[in-house]
Order: sequence, then structure tokens, then C-alpha cells
Amino acid sequence: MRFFEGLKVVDLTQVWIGPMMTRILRDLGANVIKIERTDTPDQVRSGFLAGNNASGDFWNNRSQYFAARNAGKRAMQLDLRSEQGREILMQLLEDADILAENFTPGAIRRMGLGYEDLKERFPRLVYVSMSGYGQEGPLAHRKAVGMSMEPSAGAVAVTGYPGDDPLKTGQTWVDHYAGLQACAAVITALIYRQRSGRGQYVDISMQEATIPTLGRHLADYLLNGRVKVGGDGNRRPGMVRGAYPCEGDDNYVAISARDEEQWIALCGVLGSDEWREDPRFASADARWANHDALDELIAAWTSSRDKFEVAELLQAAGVAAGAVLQAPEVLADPQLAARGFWDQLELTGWGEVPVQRYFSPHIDGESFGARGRGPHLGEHTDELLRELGASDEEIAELREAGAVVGHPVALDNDFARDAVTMRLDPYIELGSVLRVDEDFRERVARGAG
Amino acid sequence: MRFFEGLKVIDLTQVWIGPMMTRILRDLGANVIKIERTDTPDQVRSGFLAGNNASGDFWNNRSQYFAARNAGKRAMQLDLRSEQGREILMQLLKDADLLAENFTPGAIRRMGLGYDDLKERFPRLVYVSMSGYGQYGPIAHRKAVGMSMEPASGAVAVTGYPGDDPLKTGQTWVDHYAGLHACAGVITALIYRQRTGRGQHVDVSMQEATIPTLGRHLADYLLNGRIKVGGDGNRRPGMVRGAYPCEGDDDYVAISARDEAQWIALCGVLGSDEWREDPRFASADARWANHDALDELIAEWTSSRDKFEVAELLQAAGVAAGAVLQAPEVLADPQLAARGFWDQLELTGWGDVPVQHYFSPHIDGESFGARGRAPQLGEHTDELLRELGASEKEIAELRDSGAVVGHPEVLDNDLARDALTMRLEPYIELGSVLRIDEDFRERVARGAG
Repeated sequence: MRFFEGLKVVDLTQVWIGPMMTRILRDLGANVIKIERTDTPDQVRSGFLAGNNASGDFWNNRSQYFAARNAGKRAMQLDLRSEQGREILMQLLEDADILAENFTPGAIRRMGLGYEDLKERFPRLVYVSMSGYGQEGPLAHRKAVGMSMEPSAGAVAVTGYPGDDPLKTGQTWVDHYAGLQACAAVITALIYRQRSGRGQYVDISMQEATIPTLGRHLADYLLNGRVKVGGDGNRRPGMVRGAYPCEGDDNYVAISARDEEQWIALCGVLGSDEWREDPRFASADARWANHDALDELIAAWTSSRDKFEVAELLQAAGVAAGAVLQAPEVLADPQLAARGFWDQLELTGWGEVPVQRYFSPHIDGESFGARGRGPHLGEHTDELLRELGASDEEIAELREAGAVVGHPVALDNDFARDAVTMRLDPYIELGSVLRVDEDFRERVARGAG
Repeated sequence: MRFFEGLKVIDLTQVWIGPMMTRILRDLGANVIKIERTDTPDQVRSGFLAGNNASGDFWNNRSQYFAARNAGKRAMQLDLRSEQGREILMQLLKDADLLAENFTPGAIRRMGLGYDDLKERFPRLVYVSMSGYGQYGPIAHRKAVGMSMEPASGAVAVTGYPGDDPLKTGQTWVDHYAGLHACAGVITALIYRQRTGRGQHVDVSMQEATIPTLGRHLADYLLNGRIKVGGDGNRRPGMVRGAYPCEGDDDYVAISARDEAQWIALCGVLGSDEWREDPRFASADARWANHDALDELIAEWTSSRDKFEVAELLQAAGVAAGAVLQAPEVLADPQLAARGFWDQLELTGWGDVPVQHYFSPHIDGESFGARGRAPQLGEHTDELLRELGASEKEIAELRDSGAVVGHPEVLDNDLARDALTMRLEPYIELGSVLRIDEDFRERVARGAG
């Protein structure tokens, strides 16, 4: 028995930060029971559907988004507004160790299910709330999505190009970063409970979690009073840094030579002695002043070469460099393969897809993948009710009353089907889709196999 | 006694991921002993110096970078290549719970201090190694810096503008995110040790930690075969999204209206009925096709208004929005102030500066700040040797032999001083410095006070 076997988690979360956090606990062995409301199931069940196909029961583990964040959990629906539904929740909490929620602050208290409402009845319960700005304070009530959270951490002000508009980053990191903080906090609270017997309330603010990523921009203001708006592109004073085109369509290699030694190594690989003798590049200052000219020379060298080869050559010479990986290359990455990073999980009606690991540490050589596919909506309702001691007759009554099974009205109509099918055209119009691989299913199977 | 009081951590890490992780353990109560080598102290001691001034003993807690990541730790230097130095390390490990290191994979094994070298002698020791790509695999040996790590997780390929070069994000998030994985990994291993008495080796790869942030880009390839290179700027199909100029120099508000209800709310605040009746904006598709025109209208409305007011108005109407915060505004943020996010920590010879919390969860209403300022180089050497039972005479001998005190030769020379003073001009040439607040020290004191 390792790590969290025996730990029981009642999971009221949806979308991203919460499900990702409870999935980590599940991967480490916990018994995670995902509760979805009878009126509105986890809305992520409709994101990135297999085959981009919203016909049929598309909410039943056909979403890559849902599958990745909910792998291995058991699911039931509960009407938390009905007496019967709430009573079942209380029964589930009787021997639970953790309750997780990520409603907008205040919502769960209005349902009478806040920590204050439960802590006397369940004194050993660790209760974790995750939100954009924390549970109290002047902005606690705000809507929190990536496009509003990143500016709150100052990150949007420092990404992009000088003189240009601020830019959101392309990936989704705020939920991840705060979710990991939640994970560390919950485990910390469990350690404390082991000693004291006392449950705890954990309150996570995405804003607070992400501020430290500001790093040098904050330090520069604190010590020098400099205020920046707009990013530095890929450049950084004192260094030779950039993303350079390589052979093939839209292939790039990122290079960062941070000091004289690495500059000399870079010259050794790319520029021979010529660059070192060029007065335009004779010092860090000179290279900075002539970065455009230098970039042209670097690009002229890289553009006829393979991005992986360039990265390997530079790394061998002691210069930090990396091929800019596109999604299929991330899947086929030999390092990730060697470390067993991908799990193959079933998407209903589609087959298996590789799913990334959310808990990355390897412990004593063991890594921690998913414990099964994502659950269908309400899939384990009967099983869980039986575990609570309900008879078949009682289960039938609860179903009849609508306390444990809803109908996904929010999803099951033509309008929703239309809306959840992901449209390709806008991305093509935007110009950010490089290509569509017709053989991607074979590539996916090969790459992450 | 809460959380990690009584936990002893031997910290061989430097720079970012490691020190940040051990600082979290320190903030939660652990006894963290930072070991620096006698030849090369933590190189971050020279980053972002108070007053931008590298004269004098600038390596003694005058760096904001160092101060933030090493707050509250005790420091000693050890010559790990000498018999005596290694013997002291062994004595320190006798009752230690955790050893943390972030050398390039292989380096610590070559020093004879790998997990396999120590686990028999210290069977209860949890040992955590943090690196770019993990401890084994074909590219485990690679140099790992932000500019090479972000492409390895695919993040650089999805930030920026369509048709433009890939772009590194402006903030530093890879170390932070992987550091939290390390933190969760270590606490998990400690829980296991509580049950079994067995130490563990925790192996953290920054690449693995960060892949999940690819989110939709990975999902889109897995299910639809679409490959993207270059970001979508601030746009996202189906939504009205962007960063819009507001009153003042380089002030922006980020807005994200994701569905019909939020579009109607946006019109209510900004555009009244006119926009709703405009056929160019009659549907999500139409708005997408005419996003440029819509952006102009939105910008026209926002540009004469205060960014905080616009964000508040939109949030009140149910639209996710946020002022794009610049560093001084992050410091003065009322939400962070209400939640007690900043500690005031002394930088030697400068005064107090605000330092962010690295562990953001609030547990039972308690938040976890720094436990004191960062240590001077070797500050606690004598104290720690005395705790190991060394006599004054033995301490003097160890100092004489150079086993416990080095001289920061690598730092203490004119060239280093020159290099460390951060130059303003390159950033101004780049065009990304908006202004320098002459009164920033008062603003800093006021903002985060």
C-alpha cells in the first residue's frame, strides 16, 4: 500500500483546477468520488470531443479534456438542492478525508455546504476551496478565467513585444500552478491531521499562487523602480537569445547563450572564427546593439538545418537550446517516452488516446499514471449507493425522485450539439493552424506508444 | 506545533527551482540548512542587487532574487571535495529528513553523494533531485534554462501571433511549476515514510511537469490532427477576447466574453443596443469574422476610461475582465493586501522590501510567510558546527583548512561587479521599459505595507 490508498475524497469540483488536483490524489491511490449536479454536469464533458462529434451521448467520456482531468475517478450525480441528495452527500462525508470544491466564493455557503456548516459534524474533514482570488477580500467575488487571471498576476504585461499590446500566453498555466499549490496544501493538512486529529480548511487563490512567476519584473521594480509594459519578445539583455527558423515548415529552434563562454561555444558550432572576430559582436554590449544583424546570421545558418540536430549540436557544446516542439513532436518525444510519461486511456466510441500525467515526480523509480479512463456521467451511482448500504428498492426510489440521476438538459439539445462541435475555420482564418495531419491517429498511436 | 516543525532539510540546491521548493518547507516550519560550496556560492546571490550596486560585499543578502527564495534559511559553506567537508555533511545528514539537490543529472553522483551512495547509511532519508528532463533518458544531460525548457513542453510554439515567430512567455513559470511538483512529491514521500519508516528518492523533470499546460493544443491534435505553430494572439474562436488600451500610458484591460450571455452583458456595459443590432456582430461567427472592427469599437470606448473601473463594471455585469497590472500595481493590489500576501524582509544595507509568499494556500485562516530574511553567505557556519558538537578549536581548524569557509573569489572582482550591475540602456533600447518611478521606494513601502 503506497501513498494515498485508503484516502477518501468527495469531489465537487469541475472544469480545470479542481479536477486536476483530485486526479493527482487519485493517481496516488485515493478513492475519488466525483459528484456532478443533476442539472449541470461538469461543463468540460463537452470540450474537445473525440472525432469533433457531438452527436449521441457526447457527454459520456468522449471529451479529451474531461478524460485527462478525471481519469480513474468514480462518478455519481446528486441533486444537492433536494433533501435526499444532501442526505446522500452527508453519508458520503461520514468517512471522507477530503472535500474539494471550486465554486465561485460564496456559492457553496449559500447551499449550506460551506466549511463552517460541516466542520462540527465532520471534525476530521480537510476541506479545500479553490478560486480566482481567495474566499474573502474586495475582489473575491470576481469571475476568474485565464484571460482575466493572467493580468491579475502581472503576466500579461510582460509577454509580447516591446511597444506592442500586452499578450496572453498560449498555454494554460494559472489553473495548473494553483492546483499544484492546492495539492501540496491538502497533503500538508493531512500530515497535520495525522498528528492532531483535526481537520483543516484550505483556501486557494489563483492570483496569489501565480504572482511569484513575475520574477525579475517585480524585482526590477522593487530595486530599480523600472516599470515595464509589453514583453521583451524573445530577447534578454546580456544574452544572445531567440527562436530561429529551421528546415521545414514552421520549424524553429530556441537558443539562449547567456555569457561569453556560451557565445564562444555558439560561434564554434554556428559561426566559426568569423563571428568572433567581427567587431559588431565583440562584446555583450556590441552583440546587443547588433542583435538584428546577428539574428540574421544565425537564421541563415539554422534555416537549412534540422531543428533537432541544431539543438543537439548546441547542447553538446554547452549552449542551452531546444527544438520548438509542435504537439505531435511532444507526443513522440524520446525523453518523455523513456520516462513513461503517457498513459493510453479509452475515449468512449473512439479508442485509446495518450493522456499526460499530472503528477510528474518519479518516486523510487515509480511514476504515477492514471488509474483508469474518465467515468461516464453518473456511471457509478448504483455502486456508490450500494456501498452506502442502499437496497435496490431504495436506489430505484432515489432515481425516481431525481435525487441521484438528472438528465443533461444543459447539453442534450441541438443548440448545445452545435455549440460544442469545434469549428476549424476560425483557426484557419486566424492563420495559426499549420496543417492537419490526415494520418494523425496512426501518428498518435505510434508517437506515444 | 503545525506542519513541518521538527523536519530537518539539507539543502544543496541553488538558483530557482530548488531554493523555492525548500523555502516553502521552511515557511511551513522546517529547519532548512542551506549548504553552499566554498568555490561557487549560489549564483543567484548576484541577481537583482539592492540599489543596482555591486560594490562591497554584494553577495551578502543584497539580492532580491536570493532574498525571496532563501528567506528564513540558515546558511553554511562546505567544501564538498574535502574529506572534512564531506564528513560534516554526513554529520548533518544523521538526523535529516530530506536532502534536496538540483545539480545537472550525474554531477552529484560523481561527487559520491547520489541517492544510491547514501541510502544505506541514511535509510530514512527522503532525497529529491530536480532537473530539466529527469535523472535518466536520452536527453537527461541537457542544459535546462527557460528559453530551452519552454519549447520542450510545446509552450513556445503556442504563444505569440499567427504567422509570426514563436515567442517565449514573459514570466518565469517552468521552475515554479516543477518546484511545486517537487514539493508535493516530497510531502507525499514523507507521508509514506511515516507509515513505513522508509526513505525515498523523488526525481522531478521540469519537462514532464509542464506538458499538461499545453491543454487544448495537445487535445486538438489528439482528436483532430491539427497542428498549430504561432499563437492566436489574444484571440480565441467563439469568444470576444483581447487586451484593450485604457486611459493613461500603456494601461490596458483584458476582456473575455465567452458566450452569448456574456456578449449581451458586454454590450450592456460598453455598446448599448447599437452593437447588439449591428449585423456584423449578430452571432459568434459574425463577431469572429469582424473581430477587428469590434476591437476598434471596444478600444474606442475603453481608451478614455480607467482600466480598474472598466474591469469592475464588466465583472459586475458578469463578464470576465481584469486590469493588466504593472509591477507597482501588483504591489498595491487591494486583494493581495487584504489577504496579507507580502512580507517585508530586510535586504542588507538597503532596508525592507516586500517579498511575495511562495506557498499561497491559507489553512484555517492562517497564511504562510517567510520566517526571517535570507542568510548572508556562510552566516550560520559556527552555529551549525556547534550544534554538531564541534569545539571552538575544532571550528577554528575547519576554518583554517578551508573546509567550511571559502572566499567568493568568483564574485569578488571588478569584472564580476561590472557584469552584475544591471544595465538600464538595453531595455530602453528594446523599448520595453515604460518609465522609471523616481519615488518607487516610497511607492513600494506604501503599496505593500
